[in-house]
Amino acid sequence: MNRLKRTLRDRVRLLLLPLSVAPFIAAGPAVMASHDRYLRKHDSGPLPAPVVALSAAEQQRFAKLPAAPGQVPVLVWHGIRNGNDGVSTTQRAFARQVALLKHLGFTAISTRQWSDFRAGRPVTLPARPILLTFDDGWLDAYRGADKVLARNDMRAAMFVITGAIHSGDPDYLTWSELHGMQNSGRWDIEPHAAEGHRQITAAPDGTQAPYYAARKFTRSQGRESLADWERRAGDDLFALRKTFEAQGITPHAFAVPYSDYGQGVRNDPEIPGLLANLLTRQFGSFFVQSSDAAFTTPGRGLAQRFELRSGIGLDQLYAWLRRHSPAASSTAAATAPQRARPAVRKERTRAHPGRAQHQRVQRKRAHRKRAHRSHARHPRNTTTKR
Amino acid sequence: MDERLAHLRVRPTFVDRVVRLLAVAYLVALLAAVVAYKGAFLDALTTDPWFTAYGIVVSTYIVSRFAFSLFYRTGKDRGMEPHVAIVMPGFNEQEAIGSSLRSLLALDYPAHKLEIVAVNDGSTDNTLAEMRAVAAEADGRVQVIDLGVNQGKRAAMAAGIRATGAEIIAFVDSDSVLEPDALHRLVQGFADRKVGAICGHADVLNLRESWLTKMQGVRYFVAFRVVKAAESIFNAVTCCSGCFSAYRRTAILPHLDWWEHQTFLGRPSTFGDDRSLTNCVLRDWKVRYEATAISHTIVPTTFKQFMTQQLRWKRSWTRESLIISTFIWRKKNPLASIAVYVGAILPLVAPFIAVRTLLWQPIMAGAGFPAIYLLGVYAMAVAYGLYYVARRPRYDGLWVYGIAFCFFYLFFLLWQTYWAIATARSSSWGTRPATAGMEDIPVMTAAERAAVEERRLVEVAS
Repeated sequence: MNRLKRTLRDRVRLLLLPLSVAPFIAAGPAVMASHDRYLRKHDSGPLPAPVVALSAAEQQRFAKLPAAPGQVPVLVWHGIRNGNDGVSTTQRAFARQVALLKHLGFTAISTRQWSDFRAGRPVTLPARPILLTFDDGWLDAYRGADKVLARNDMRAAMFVITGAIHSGDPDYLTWSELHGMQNSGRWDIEPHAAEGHRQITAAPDGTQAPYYAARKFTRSQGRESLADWERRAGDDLFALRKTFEAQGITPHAFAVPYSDYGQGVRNDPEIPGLLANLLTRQFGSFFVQSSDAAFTTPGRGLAQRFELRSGIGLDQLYAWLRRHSPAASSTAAATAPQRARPAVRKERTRAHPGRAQHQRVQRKRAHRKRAHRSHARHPRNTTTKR
Repeated sequence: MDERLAHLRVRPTFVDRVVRLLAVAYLVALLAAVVAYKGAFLDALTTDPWFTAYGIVVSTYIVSRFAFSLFYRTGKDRGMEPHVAIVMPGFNEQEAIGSSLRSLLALDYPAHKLEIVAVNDGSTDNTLAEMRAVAAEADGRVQVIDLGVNQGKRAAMAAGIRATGAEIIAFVDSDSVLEPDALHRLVQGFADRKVGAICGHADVLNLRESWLTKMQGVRYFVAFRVVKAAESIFNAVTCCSGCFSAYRRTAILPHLDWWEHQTFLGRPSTFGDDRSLTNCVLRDWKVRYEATAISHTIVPTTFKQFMTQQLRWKRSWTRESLIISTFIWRKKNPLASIAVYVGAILPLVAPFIAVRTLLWQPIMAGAGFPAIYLLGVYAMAVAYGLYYVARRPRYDGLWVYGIAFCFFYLFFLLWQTYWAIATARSSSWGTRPATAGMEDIPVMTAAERAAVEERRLVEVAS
């Protein structure tokens, strides 16, 4: 009996060996996370630009286009990363796109220049100005794009989600990185949303809609009133402006999350008009994007961008540019730097609610499913200008 | 052989062999993981240089100890049987001294080549009479020296050394029990004419006594089998433990007077005699460790005794680290020298790192629970425990006490370093030990001894 007990005890003690592995397994995720944090902190600089050159055939195919005086094309990308997630562009594809723009004689302008151009203020623009923008404030966009832009003497604007920045999500740029970008003179930092870059429930059947684009439905309260919607959207935009102010950054334009300001009429036909008004008053201009956007012209409110999603080739980019450029006959006239004419229309331009349905970005990145955590919102501030 | 060691004579079963194999694999995987982890974070050297460098140095130190110890080879039996004198000072030890001396006489070593020098350091009890009683039965193999008044352990040891002409002087702590062939195994290394001292192996005799002795059991095992073995491959063991070690007479004679009257910052150095004597010899001689020369020693059983002992060790460590730093580089062995300097600096840095990681960063810098740091300590602890499992013939659950010890060290012992340095001049023993040997061993009363004995016998019988 004693012997059996001792054997049993010895066998149980053997379990101590496998048991000792438990803390390593338990701490495994923490170690991985710390390594991720470490990489985020120390391996987050710009990546070298890939060497891309347009082939002779391409250079021939993509003939120089006539300048379009008084118009500025605007492009938008999201992330720069490998993997075909529908939204991001690979660094190589991006480099080729920028090389094409360079080949076509485009010069990237700052958002300040663009807003002066929009407002009809006197501003000297290059012969073929273009505005390059990125939405969301992804780290990978900066890492992949920065050296490419530098190599081609280009610059770009990054539209950031301040809520995502504050969430500490490692996939997003931090404020210190954004300030560094701004100080490099290659980047402008512009607003995209505070907490409002997410979906809300818009109907009892669970239909989802972008945060700003619809009245919110909750089981307990039902559908919020239009006044509540306005307060919710207004508060978020106010918080956004406050954050930018606190960071010492002046916004020149706003990029509408999901390119949806309600123009498709989600659950209230009043929203597109109200929101367009609100955004125009707060930011002067607001961007939506599509695969066939018009070039921007002086004015206020809605402005369009051509969206470069995954897999958009040089041919598509070139085709879009050509489609909106003036007819080839006027090529000769457009070599001298253009001076923007003062805006003719002084009245407030209301956004065009009847514009055709814009394609919405399906921002379902499998690897970035992390919802923007909703942090303590800015306390309701009744002084919000409406 | 001593019946107290009977329980150690066990043979491994098949399960034991398999478990040992698994432990080796686990240990190798663990050390490889530590190396890989450090490699993955190597770039942190540019951003957080001090902390990262510390981490790399600590892990390199530990991994290198294990790696070097793999190259350790036990001394070959060269049939060396030099004339050996075992010097055993005694102070108020009437209960134990008799049996200690008798067990030395019973060692498996030619009688005409082994003499015992018993030194009575002014005992006020019957120690002297006990010594003389043993001497009377020993055909002149036991020499008794009486200092008359208490002069301290070093004086007693020095008197013993001077009283004998033996080629090899061995010291055995009276709280240690030697395996029968231990002395024979120990002296084999002296076949090399350049070897000046050899340190024997010490295991914990009162292993099952308390959680503290169990922890020390694993610690001793690793400290000897890994750390001393690693030092030994460079012939530069830094401390020949007072439990059981032997010196070449010609190596210590030139230093004997200095050693006996060593002072530190104007005060006589009363403890740390073993480390100090090793340092004397290490200047000009090779100093080795012999893993097969095994002694079993009694270690402190209570927290208070243990802490007092450790404080005393740290004080002498402070003093002797300064001394060894002045000459070890001259030995022209960069690996050994680096290990000595790193070993001297790490304990000084470690408390700051621990404060920074365990307190400052979580509380003041909002860094959260220091999981990675504690995991590192745990990894080190498991490595020590696994080594214990891998090298013991029979598997026992004691190795987890090795894990406990590392955390015990982190939470209690780490913080003694600076206190020990601040009080390094102190010559107080805390508890005055009555015996030669490992600096500190607190005196056990006869009743305590009997209790230990009884418990062990019960264990062996069961």
